Amino acid sequence: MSNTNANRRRLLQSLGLTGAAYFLPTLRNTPIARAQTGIPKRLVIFYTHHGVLPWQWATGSTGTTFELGPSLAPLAAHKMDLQLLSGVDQKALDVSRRDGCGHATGESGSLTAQTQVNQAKARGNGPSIDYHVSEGFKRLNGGKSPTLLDSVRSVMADRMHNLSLWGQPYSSPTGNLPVEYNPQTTFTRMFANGVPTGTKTTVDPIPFNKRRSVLDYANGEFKSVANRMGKYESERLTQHSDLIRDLEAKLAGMSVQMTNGGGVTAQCARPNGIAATSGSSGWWDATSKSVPLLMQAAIACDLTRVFCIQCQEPAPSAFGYTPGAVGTTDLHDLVHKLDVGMKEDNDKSRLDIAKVYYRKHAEVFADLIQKLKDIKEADGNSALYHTAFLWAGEIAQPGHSYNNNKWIVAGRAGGYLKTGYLHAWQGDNVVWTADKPAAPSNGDVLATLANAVGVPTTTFGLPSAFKGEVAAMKA
Amino acid sequence: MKRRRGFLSAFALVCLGAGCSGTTTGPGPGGGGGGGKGGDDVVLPPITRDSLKRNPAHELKCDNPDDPSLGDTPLVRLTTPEYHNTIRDLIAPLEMPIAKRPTLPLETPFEGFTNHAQGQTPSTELVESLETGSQDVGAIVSAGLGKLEIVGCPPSGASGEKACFDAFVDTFAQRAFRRPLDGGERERLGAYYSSMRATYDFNDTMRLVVNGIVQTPQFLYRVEYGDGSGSKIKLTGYEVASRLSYLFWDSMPDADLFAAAADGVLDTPSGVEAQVLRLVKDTRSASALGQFGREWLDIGRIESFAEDKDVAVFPGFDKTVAADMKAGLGMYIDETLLGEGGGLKTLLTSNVGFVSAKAAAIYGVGAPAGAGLQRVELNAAERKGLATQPAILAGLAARSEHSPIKRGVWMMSHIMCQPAPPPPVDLNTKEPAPAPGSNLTKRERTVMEHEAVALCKSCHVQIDGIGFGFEGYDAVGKYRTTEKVADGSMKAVDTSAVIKETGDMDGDYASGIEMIDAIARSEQVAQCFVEHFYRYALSRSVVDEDGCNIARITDQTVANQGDFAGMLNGLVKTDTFRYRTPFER
Repeated sequence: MSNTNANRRRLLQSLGLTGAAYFLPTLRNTPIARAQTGIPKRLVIFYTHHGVLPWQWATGSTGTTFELGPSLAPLAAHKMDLQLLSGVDQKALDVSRRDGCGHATGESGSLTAQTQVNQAKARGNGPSIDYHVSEGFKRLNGGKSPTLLDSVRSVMADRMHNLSLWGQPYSSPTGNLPVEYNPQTTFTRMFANGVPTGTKTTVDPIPFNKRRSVLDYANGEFKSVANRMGKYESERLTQHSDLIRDLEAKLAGMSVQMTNGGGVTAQCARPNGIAATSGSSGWWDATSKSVPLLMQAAIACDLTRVFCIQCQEPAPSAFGYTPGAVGTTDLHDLVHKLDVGMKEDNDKSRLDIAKVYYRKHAEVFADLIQKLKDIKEADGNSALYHTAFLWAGEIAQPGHSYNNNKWIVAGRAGGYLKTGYLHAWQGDNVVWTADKPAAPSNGDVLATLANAVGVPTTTFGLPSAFKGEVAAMKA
Repeated sequence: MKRRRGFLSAFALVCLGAGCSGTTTGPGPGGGGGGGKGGDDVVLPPITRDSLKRNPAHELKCDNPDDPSLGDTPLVRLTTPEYHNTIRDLIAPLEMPIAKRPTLPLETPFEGFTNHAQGQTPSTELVESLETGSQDVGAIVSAGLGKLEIVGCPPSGASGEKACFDAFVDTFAQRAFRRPLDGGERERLGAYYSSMRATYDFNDTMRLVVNGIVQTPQFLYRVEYGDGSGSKIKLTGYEVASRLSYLFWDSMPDADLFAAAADGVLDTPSGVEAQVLRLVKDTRSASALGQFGREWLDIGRIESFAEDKDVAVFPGFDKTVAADMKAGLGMYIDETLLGEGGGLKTLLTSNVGFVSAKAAAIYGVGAPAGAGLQRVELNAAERKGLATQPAILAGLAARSEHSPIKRGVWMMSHIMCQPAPPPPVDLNTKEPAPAPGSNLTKRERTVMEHEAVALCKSCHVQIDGIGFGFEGYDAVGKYRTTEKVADGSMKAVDTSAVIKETGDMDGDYASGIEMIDAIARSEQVAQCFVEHFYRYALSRSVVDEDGCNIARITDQTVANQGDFAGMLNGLVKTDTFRYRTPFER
């Protein structure tokens, strides 16, 4: 029999899942509570440009066993809070792809899952997901936004290299939505009425106590059965038992008191040091520090539940580039002089700069994630747990491809979404392989996120490109 | 009903006519191992060396054919359908409204199967969903206690409450645990009841008791302690009853199975086989065994591709046609795998189709009379078996162009158990579009591309050789003899196929139909079928220790022309099905 167990060990070893480590990813991934506590869910979007360097992004097949590549290394501490989506197709753009600027076309379709209205306006033929969700929150709240601001769209960009060049991804059904370059303007909008406060109320503890007693009995049985079984079986049962204990703890907290009247948290405060403007020579330092603070304050104070951050391009100095260097005119030119198929065989001087550029995005994203984690909700979880935080872009990689995008979702939207997971989907026109499920469209992904934050969404974007919610993204 | 009778009669023929005792004649040619004794003094058939070498990709091991090891015995949690079915049967005649069913987290298949123990890591969402659902079960049962026909329940007064509770433990709780409660379990449940009753009224207390019972591991998991010691621990009759009911019904044992367990009937192979005869006759087995077929063949994922087609290339192809093709595939599998004469060979070679008027053109037949899907005979020169069902062919294709690669990869992985190696990491696997004005067929282009790169050629010589056998079908699965190439002309398609480096299928085939015949005759394919079902039935991976069992069951499956009943018969007789390994402390 030792041979049998040795086989099992070998199998687990081959999967990198030996012993207790086999269970660790889920244990690390199991917060002590989920929604149903009155804590609001939020949609946050981080939007970057020029796609990714595919071979630098992440490796692994669909599942929990994956590795972050060099471009995503700054996210290592948050790996178990991420859901990596490799292969998302912008199928609507297949329907009416337009010649001309690929970036503008991608921006029109990425968050709308729609065709492009026209090249000049670079707008999708429908609302973007941020608008869809903020309108959904209004509908669910009797036609009025549940927060001071229905949404915020903040941009990290140099005014001289701004959105007018390419367009922007946010739109209502009839036109582009306004964005804000100046962090202090956003600050003023947020705190015009002062710093909000929350109220608390005590709830009847008896129903919670009854449920706890049931769990206590069931957990006793788990311990009893685990004691009679072997160590592997016992590990599995103990893992289940630990989750029951976590649920008991959550119920104990809920029976004492719970936040009432919105999601204002103890961390709600007016942020300091918000930059007065962008467009100066120090615009990158100003916006890259101010915008994350604004996002954090907006969520902690429940001033909005839809916050979009567009990182147009970090300042060249932020990633060691001087326009005109290495045989290129600007970043756009540099990126497009890379041949994705050549990978590391590209011109080294250009590739090294590009690697820093792409890594810089991950640094900003990691900072934003941490700021959401630092907000503690009434149920003991962080704000990130109750948020669907999407990192998306207009194209998949420097080659202007709209398909096979690599997107990331952080947070669980109150337990709706899974994390610590890589989806290695088969993007359009790629050879099917046994370990790659069919790729969803961006509309499918966006609808999933809308549902995750509580806005019922049965279709989104171009109907012919929509297949349905992506069940595999759900916990 | 015809289908169920057919399956039953096939099982009876195999089981009763082919020696369910397991006795057999002496060693066969090659004589790798003589007959041996199983755990119940059953004489095991011999195993030949050839039986271990059917698949060159992984030869089986059988070091001790007289007393084969058991392999692993994992702790298995109820799958989502098993959970819902068990609640349904446990509380009957009470009913759980569908709207109140807890939405359990999506299950992640492991090695293709959602019931694989290794894919059953519990999550916060699972625990919370179960807790929510259990509250509803408790409320329904406590409110409908009088309908459960438990002696003394509901009590007429306070003095009868304890008697009602005791009777409840002996009936409801026993059925929930799927065996009599032991002393400790009874004591803990009684203590919980008393503790709650001291604070709440009887109905409220019973609601909490039921709520608790359906959250215990005895309910949520298939807990198997076995009875005895040594290297093989015999499962109790109750544990065997659960293995059978969850394998064939995706649910808890019924009264007959419980009675058979209590009477010791399930302690012998013949007793087990008698119950299997009864279980497969029940309509509930269609759902459970059908689920095996879908997961084995990866039908869900294939179907997701089948509906995504370029309407500019295939005008008239829409979601209705795709849905009809998918439904037709389900009916095809149901009939050919589980129906009269059903089994592997029929699955791989039948030329029936279930066709709607709207999808008839794709199947190459006229619109059948009658509404919905109709059973029709397809042109035998054009179609043969599962792999030529339009939904499969369309699913293993791109949006506008068929894909010999996808078709070859699927055949190797799911039918032959000789999966192609994955492509190199970060290889750009995009299939290039034809050059403008090219007059090359997809096959000719594929050959050129893969011949040009040695790295590609090494694998694609196998993949493409098989996939080319399906060149006679376009990306929606329609039969054709010509292909439109990039210069606009029509060229004849070449459906000749080559199989290399397999156990018993190697050869050049003039057409895909000829290739399918060879595949259907293959013992390697029969073993593949057995391995998939073995993994599904035991909720775990196949390991070296399973070699003897796999070889023996395959022998029997081959001898019975690949029928499903023969395989089931072989499986339930194994020690692995009726014994467990000792716990490792």
